[in-house]
Amino acid sequence: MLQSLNRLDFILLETLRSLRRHGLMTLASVTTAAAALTMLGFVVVGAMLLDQMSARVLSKFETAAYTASSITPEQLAQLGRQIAALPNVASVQVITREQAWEQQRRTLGYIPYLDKMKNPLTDEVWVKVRDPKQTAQVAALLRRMPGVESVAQPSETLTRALAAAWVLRAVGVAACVVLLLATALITSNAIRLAVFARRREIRIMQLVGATDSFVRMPFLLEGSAHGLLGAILAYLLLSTSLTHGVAFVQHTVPFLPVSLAGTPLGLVYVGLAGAGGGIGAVASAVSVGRFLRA
Amino acid sequence: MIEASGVSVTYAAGVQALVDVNLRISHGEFVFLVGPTGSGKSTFLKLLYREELPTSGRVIVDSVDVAALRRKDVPALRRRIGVVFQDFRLLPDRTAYENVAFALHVTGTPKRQVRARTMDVMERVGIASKARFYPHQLSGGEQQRVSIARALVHAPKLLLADEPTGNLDPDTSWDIMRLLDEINAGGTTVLVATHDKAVVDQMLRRVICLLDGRVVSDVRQGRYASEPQPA
Repeated sequence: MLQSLNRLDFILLETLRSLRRHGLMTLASVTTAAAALTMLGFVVVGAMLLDQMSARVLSKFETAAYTASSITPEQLAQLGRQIAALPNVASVQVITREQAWEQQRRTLGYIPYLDKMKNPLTDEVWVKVRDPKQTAQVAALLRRMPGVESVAQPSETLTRALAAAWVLRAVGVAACVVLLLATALITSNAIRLAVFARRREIRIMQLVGATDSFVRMPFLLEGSAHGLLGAILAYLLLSTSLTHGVAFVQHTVPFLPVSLAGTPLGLVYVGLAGAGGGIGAVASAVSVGRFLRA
Repeated sequence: MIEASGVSVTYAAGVQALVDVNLRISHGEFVFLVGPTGSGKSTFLKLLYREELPTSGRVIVDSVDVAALRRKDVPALRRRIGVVFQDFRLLPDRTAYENVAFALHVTGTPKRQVRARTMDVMERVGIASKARFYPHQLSGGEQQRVSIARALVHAPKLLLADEPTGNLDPDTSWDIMRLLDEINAGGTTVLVATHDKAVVDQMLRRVICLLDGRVVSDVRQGRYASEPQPA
């Protein structure tokens, strides 16, 4: 351990020397890494937001059965039990018209004279189906039950929009894979040039008895540095555009429940740094390995 | 120190660089390896520091079967062998001192030892005063001294020199040879591949002559190929 610490400053100096020497290739490799990691970041964060959104949207649009206002509390409880016994029903929540009104008044408290109004609501039974695909069937069953006045179910368009978003996500993942591969290739090429430029040094290192891992180390660090620098750029791009993008969406499409609050962004950035550094290290290991065995 | 038995090296194109070479070189010897260009001198040296592998036969260096060595054990062998070349192979962007210290740095020598060991060996080969100079600021002889210092900095038991005076004028060549002789007097086995006739003839050391990859003569206190006789 002490010995490797001792080598560390030498290795770091060698890495810096090389980074400086190959400015243009370093630039190419760093910017590709940045592009790929930014894309990856968008896809990951996008998927997280999508997950959150669909969870919220779909749960909001659980199937609800509204009862006739003439129903008695006993009949309501009975209806609840009957619905719960239906096939494909996961859970049932019975909300009396008083409870519903109370909740409404709380959320809409800013409207004046609301508490002077007569309760316009009916009793509600919220039904969660086991599988979203069976929503329509369950809704049809509910409609035929005595005491049920109307049935609400998730809007088709919204469900479709979410499905389209998932397709978009798949496309994003594919684009990420392509970009990450490009990053690996360009970094590997950059390191190959760096290795080639230092071939005399490497040959002398080998001649005087440096181990392969010692020879490899500065290049691995250089490759990871490319990836990490790319990750830092990606972080800057991502954090600014996410903050602004989400603010924009919240402003223009206020009913869409988009928020970064529940997204582990820090974890995403750490992951990007790891991915960048890792890809860089692997790509350069391949390049140096080829040269060492040649 | 060195033992080659039945060593042949055949390159891909079918060129035979060495053919059935059998040699023994004892610890502490000073040996010239002579012969015209392409006779296999460099190939033989390369076998010793495992830059090349024999196609057949066995090469033992300091009790190590070189061909059987695993890749990860090669660095340890190289640290026991110093190698010097005709073209010096110094790094142009580093000073003389840095070139010598490089060999210590890259083998993980503790930093506080590097300076003392580097200066010590540069002192020994008489180049300490030029420590801060870059290779292009040094004469050929001085550059070769730096490269010898680098080869010696690990205190090797064996020093290999491939045409060490090939780029030097006669006087400077002599200085370098005297230096190699001193190093040999200190106990290091020295093997010099050369076709510098004048040097070989005056040194009167063991001379092994190669011709077309074969050992054609091996003479104690020999001269440069006093007519290469088929062995």
